[in-house]
Amino acid sequence: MRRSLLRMVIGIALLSAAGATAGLSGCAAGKASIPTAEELLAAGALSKGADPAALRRGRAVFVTECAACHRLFLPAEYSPEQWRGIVKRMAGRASLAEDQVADLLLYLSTASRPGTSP
Amino acid sequence: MNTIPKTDRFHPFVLPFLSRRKCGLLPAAAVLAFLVLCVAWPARGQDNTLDPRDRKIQELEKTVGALAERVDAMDESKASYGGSWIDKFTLGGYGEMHANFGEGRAADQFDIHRLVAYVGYTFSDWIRFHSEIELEHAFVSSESDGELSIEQAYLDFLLSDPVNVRFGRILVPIGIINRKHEPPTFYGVERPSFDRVIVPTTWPADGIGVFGGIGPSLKYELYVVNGLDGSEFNATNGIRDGRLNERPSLHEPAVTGRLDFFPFVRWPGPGGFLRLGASAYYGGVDNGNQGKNPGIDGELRILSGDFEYALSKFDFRGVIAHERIHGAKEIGNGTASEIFGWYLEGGGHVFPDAWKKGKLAKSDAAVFVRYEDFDTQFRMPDGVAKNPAGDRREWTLGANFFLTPTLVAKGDVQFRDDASGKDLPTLINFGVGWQF
Repeated sequence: MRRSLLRMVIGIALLSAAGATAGLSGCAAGKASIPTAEELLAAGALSKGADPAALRRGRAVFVTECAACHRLFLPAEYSPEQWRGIVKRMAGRASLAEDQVADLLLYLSTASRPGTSP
Repeated sequence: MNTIPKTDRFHPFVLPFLSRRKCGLLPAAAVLAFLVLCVAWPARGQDNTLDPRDRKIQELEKTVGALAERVDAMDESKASYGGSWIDKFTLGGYGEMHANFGEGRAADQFDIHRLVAYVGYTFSDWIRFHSEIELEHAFVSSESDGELSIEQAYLDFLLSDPVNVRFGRILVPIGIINRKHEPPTFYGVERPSFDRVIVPTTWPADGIGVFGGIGPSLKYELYVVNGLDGSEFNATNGIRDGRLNERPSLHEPAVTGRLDFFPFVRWPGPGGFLRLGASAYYGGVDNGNQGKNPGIDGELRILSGDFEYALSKFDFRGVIAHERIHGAKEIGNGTASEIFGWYLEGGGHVFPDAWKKGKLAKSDAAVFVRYEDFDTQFRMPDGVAKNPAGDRREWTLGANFFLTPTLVAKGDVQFRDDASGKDLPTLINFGVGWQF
């Protein structure tokens, strides 16, 4: 039992070190992969008249719901048009409510426009 | 004859001035100044001379455009729940084929391990049906390991963000793989061994429960489901064989649930994705298939934690679980009073961005390493001898090549040992998996 716990502590320490290294390298490379609503607003990416609160909700849906069933594909990996098709296919499977789908589409179409990711 | 040198061949408008070489510079400068004014004037005029009403109209046009986008999105979200009857269906599936090679006497085999079909239906914008029907090992008979089963079949009643109802056959929400087990979603050809004997996947259960979000960063699930059959617990497979698939008895139900916290929902963190999960299970074990009870007096409690972290080109995940079985001595079969295990895994995406073009535009490749440490004989009841074969460790090293994001080729090697001192064969596995 003690050996098992000791191995776990060592494993967590190694993984933490790897995570920290990855974090530092990611930060050094400037790769913010899932832009926040605030970052998009600051970049002027949101269409005039669109609701910033919906953009925040859309990101929350993206982070909490999409990764429940598969890896989290980054907004920039697909175009706004492609995201519309993907979300249409996946919304039923993920049991998303209509307003969640609308918020998610707003976030993905905003975050995936070329030049909007920070 | 006044010919124009080749170097003076300019636009006809400036030509007459520039062709008179003696006094050409001054008129040329005047022309240039005139042209600059012509170009600059309208822009300057747009900035400062636009009527306030025109400016307001421009802003309103932009606002209307944004609202139109929003309406389009709402229309599409409605369309995704079906206008025509065919749109009300959701179809999908996943599958995986493996080739397993073992050192020494271990069997080499090709295995069409799983073929799975998803079928769903949208009854209304708030009632949905989901199902997962699975065929394992390509052939089903009374003597084979093949299995045809309904892994999930449930109705979702979407009432509000914080409270929704789920009814039917669900997947017990413990760990990672039991809920997210499609081949492109995990590293390695086979699922982690931890997820075979500690949190047995796939682990379905029939019941009812609630799920939803508590604020943007916290999600929960809570169910009352059928319990396990304790008479099938044993020394090396732990609770795995206690799962019920056919008309499970509801004699001693269980309660299970989980919480997931997403700290980077509002905050970007270091640019990545982080989920921290905690899950639990508590229930009796006097249940059986076909509504029959084995007459076991016992209880099972599971506490588990898990995380997933993705950052830049790296991703990490890990699970830990502790199980306490009351009445283990009465159950027999070498069943432990406590079972414990964990694993940690790290992967790095190594496919160069420069190669992502043409047919490989959406391709990816990752290498990974996973360490598992699990013991189905962690603590034994008084007077019951420990089977050291239950105390196992595994290293798995391998690679996933994603031809597309949902079609993956895999290869790995597994080094294993247990506390019995016997040499366990090293395994080499290759596989192809997909999801659609």
